[in-house]
Amino acid sequence: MRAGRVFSFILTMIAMLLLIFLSSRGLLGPLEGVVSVPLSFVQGVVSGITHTISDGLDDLSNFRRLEKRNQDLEEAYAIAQSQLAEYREKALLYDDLASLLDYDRFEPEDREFVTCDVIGLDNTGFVRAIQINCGRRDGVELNDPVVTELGMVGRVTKVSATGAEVLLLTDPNSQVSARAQSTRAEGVVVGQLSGDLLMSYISVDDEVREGDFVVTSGLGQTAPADLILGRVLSVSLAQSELYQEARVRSLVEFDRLEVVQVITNFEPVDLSVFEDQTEQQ
Amino acid sequence: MAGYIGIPILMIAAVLNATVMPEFRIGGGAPDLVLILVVSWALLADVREAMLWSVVGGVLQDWLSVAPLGTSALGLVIVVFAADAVFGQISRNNIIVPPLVAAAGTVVYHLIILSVLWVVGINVPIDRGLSYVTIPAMFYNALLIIPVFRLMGRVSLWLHPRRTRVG
Repeated sequence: MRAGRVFSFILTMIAMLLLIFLSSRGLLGPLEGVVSVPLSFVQGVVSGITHTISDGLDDLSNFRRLEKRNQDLEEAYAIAQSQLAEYREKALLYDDLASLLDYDRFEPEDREFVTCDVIGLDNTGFVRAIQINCGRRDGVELNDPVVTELGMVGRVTKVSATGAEVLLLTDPNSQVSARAQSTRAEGVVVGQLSGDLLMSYISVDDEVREGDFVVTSGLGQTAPADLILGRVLSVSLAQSELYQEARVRSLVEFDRLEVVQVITNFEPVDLSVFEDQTEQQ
Repeated sequence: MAGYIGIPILMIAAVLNATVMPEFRIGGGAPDLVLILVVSWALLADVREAMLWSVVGGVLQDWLSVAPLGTSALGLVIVVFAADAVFGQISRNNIIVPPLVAAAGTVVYHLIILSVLWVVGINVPIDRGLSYVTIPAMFYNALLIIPVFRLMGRVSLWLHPRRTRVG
């Protein structure tokens, strides 16, 4: 009886290790794709109900605070409106100059989006990722950038016919080339398990100001340039004292994402040909 | 028969883990219904049934996560086997052992997930991972297993009415 249990245990362990090996090599892709279709559907329904209940409870408990916040936002909105008019003028001037110089870059208005519902969060807790209800059928591809109106959210890391998984910016394995908007200081924004962002590898000679916006720089071609990543909270020298680090707070509430947009027409420039040439030399 | 009863229950639990449970996160840790159900069944029923539950629940979990297929199942199978080896079957009125097994099982389970993630190239800082995710999850699971264990005790009694329990 005991030997039978041990035998079942060993057999199951071998089967699971084999499954992990096949899955990590991507050999189960078609099977995973087929099974994820009904599972994504059920997940979407449950997620919708959860969001509705959660939002309702939040609204009830925060009514007073929301009223005050609404007033503050109305004031901020009025200021933003006047700034917007100024920026529109500048944008028009920029468009004129860019057309004169035949300057072609991936502009925000060139972006094509597909809007998707967030249907789940990664359940391991160790990886900061979400599942969305858009997949290949909607034009979503691997590595597509994912955004909301408040800035970049992450990148598509898995995609099936009807769903996709998005690695959030806050995941420790997420790295995006970034720059401080006003001082143009370059760095790399890395996720933290706590949910914050850290802009690292900023040259000690560069200036980064608290409150400054941090945007994607477009370097490395992992994301289009000028997507908002967050605002600088504080700046300090790294432990090695070789570069500066800035704590960045995203404007996006990653734990409460309900709807996101995937940029479906961002095509990174293919630089692999240069890597091959370097290897040959 | 009893093993297959678990499939719809675990399916619901896996979906709830990916949708509802993150709403209760403290730090990065949330209750893990699949782990709780599987551990409860390991302490109430035959370990081979619990292993079947582990595989089904684990694979369903992995379908809704970044981890490769089989990661959670591997962790759950090890937890179930260890729980059976140490405690065997216990009385459905026992309120000491299930929280202990849930707490220790959460640590073992998370260590296995972290190891597999590391092997496939997803690096998570282990110290922060354990303090930020595992400790809150451990408390949640130890607490939540008490009502779930009682509920599963009733299911077990319904499925195996003549089983003798040693408490």
